[in-house]
Amino acid sequence: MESLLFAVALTLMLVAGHGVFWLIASTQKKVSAPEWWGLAWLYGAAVVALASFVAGALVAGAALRLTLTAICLALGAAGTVRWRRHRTEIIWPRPRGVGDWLLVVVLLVQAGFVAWISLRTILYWDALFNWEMKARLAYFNGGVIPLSYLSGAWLNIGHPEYPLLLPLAESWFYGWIGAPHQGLIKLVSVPFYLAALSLLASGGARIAGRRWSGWLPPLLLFFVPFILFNPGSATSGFADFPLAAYYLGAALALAEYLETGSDGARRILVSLSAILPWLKQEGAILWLCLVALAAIEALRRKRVRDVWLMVLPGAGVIIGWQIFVRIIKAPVGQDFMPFTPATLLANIGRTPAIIRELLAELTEWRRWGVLWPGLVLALPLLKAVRRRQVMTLLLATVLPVAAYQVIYFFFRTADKSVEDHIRGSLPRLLTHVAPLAVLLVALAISSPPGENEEGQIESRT
Amino acid sequence: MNPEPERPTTDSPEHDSRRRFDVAFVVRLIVLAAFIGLGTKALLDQHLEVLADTGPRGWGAATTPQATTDAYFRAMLRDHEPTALEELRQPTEPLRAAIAALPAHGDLIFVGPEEDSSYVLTYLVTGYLAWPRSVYEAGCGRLPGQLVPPPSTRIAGIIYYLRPPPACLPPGRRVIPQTILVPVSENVSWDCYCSR
Repeated sequence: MESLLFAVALTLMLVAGHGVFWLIASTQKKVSAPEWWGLAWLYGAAVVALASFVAGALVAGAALRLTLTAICLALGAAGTVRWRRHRTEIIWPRPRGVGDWLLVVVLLVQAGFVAWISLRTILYWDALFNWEMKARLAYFNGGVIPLSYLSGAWLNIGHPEYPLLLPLAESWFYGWIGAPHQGLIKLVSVPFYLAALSLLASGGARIAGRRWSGWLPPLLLFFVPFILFNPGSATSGFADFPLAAYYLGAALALAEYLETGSDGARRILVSLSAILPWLKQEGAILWLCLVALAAIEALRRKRVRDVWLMVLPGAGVIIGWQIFVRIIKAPVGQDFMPFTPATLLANIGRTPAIIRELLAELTEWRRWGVLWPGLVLALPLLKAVRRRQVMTLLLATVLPVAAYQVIYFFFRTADKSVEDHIRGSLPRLLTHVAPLAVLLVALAISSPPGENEEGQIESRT
Repeated sequence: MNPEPERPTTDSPEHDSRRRFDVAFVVRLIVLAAFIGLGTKALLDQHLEVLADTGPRGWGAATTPQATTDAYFRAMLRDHEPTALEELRQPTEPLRAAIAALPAHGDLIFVGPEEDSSYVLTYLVTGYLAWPRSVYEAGCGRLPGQLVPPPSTRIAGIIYYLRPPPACLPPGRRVIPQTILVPVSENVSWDCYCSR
């Protein structure tokens, strides 16, 4: 019965996400089915969490669940009407031949293995105390996270100031199941992994302009061990892999927008990037990277209005959440020193340690396989693929890593060395851009030698 | 009769192009093989048999409502009372039920040895299970900055982890191995909870 109710909650989330997707992206003439499914899940989780946060200020308990259900169904219906009206063509991936079917089987086995791992492994420390615990508290409080927890009046654990997408999405499942359930809630990780696979498949095929190039990126993601195991992985219950899935979707939309100026891609970019800070604090950094890349191009095209349209939703989420945190007087972590040039200069001596630890992590094959060295080797091979989109994805991969290194200059090292802190956090942070790096490596491997960029662009238009 | 196609010479542009083609192809093949090969090797080295083992000796979690906290308590038992592992497969529930059975509107004090590696995790899990009660972490003066309860706090119980309660308090009840819950009513002074 619990599994059935879990499935109902999941379906309603997907219905809402499907609706939001078509309300946002209906101007597209063609949409690939994997992209539709992947984004439907990402939008669904975000919408249910946001609606839960807003409606939770007014109602709680069964009334809240009823309200959220009505919102999911209404969004689903509105999106379907919009989709039908615009008659957007859906491109279904149709395996042709034994080779394609073999790849499909391998992909299904990989996804099944990830689901099995999710069910059999624990929620790691942060997953339990930073995320699931808030879902549990919300469940006991009628679907609303108690203010006494958020304001630190209860135990000051689990970072009450962290954003609430994941806890409120998990609380939605608890509401339907009828009790907190550490076993079943681990399954919420699986749709995020599947969403990333879908986006890798659709993004790979679209950028390479070749059908079979869509198979390789999702297949390769499986061979990055840190994505499957350890704290911060897709199966750990942390927010890092979901953040990576949203970031992947937003970066792909950015690459398409910068090349084609597509309005649909811009809308997906703006909406997905605005969700990033609502999922995790580092999401604000990822959002800033995307907005910076998009704004440079928009300004070059003298489309100032586009810049504002890109900045406002994400800035609204960041500022809105900070205002909320201050109003409820949530205890804010003391992990960082003031972000001033003086702090940066005072800690400039950390540079060798930061570089040393970064290089050590990038070459740690037990966690990453050959992902990062492979990316370096892939760079010359990527000349054969759409240069513009590849360059955008490369910058979207490198910029956050650089930004995270800068943050280490501001970290307060009270109880441990900066090296210890980097070792503890860097693998998680690299997860945010790992799917993008996998996509770039796969594109390099699957692009046929000798095909030039012009040929690629012609084949697309 | 068609003339035989001219073969590229070693210094012709066509030959250069083919050489570049071959090198690029080999590099692609190496990257792909290394990606899958090393990735597979690293995956096999993850000790999946331990991570996914939901038995008493493993770190895995079954699909039960308290799967993760059970796994955390099992790790504590492995360190401190391994003989209890077989008889107590789901240690969370007895502790949760014991806390829930305490009189309403009272907080808890958690007393234990901070130097033990399982101390912090057990304290956090106890706090997690105790909602809406607060759980004050009482290191009894050895570590600064802990949540010592204000004198006016209404205390419903004191949890002694890895140590017995002092003689000034009632003996309490062993709710799970290495963990004793001492219920405290308004008639019982709990100020001596730190004494040995």
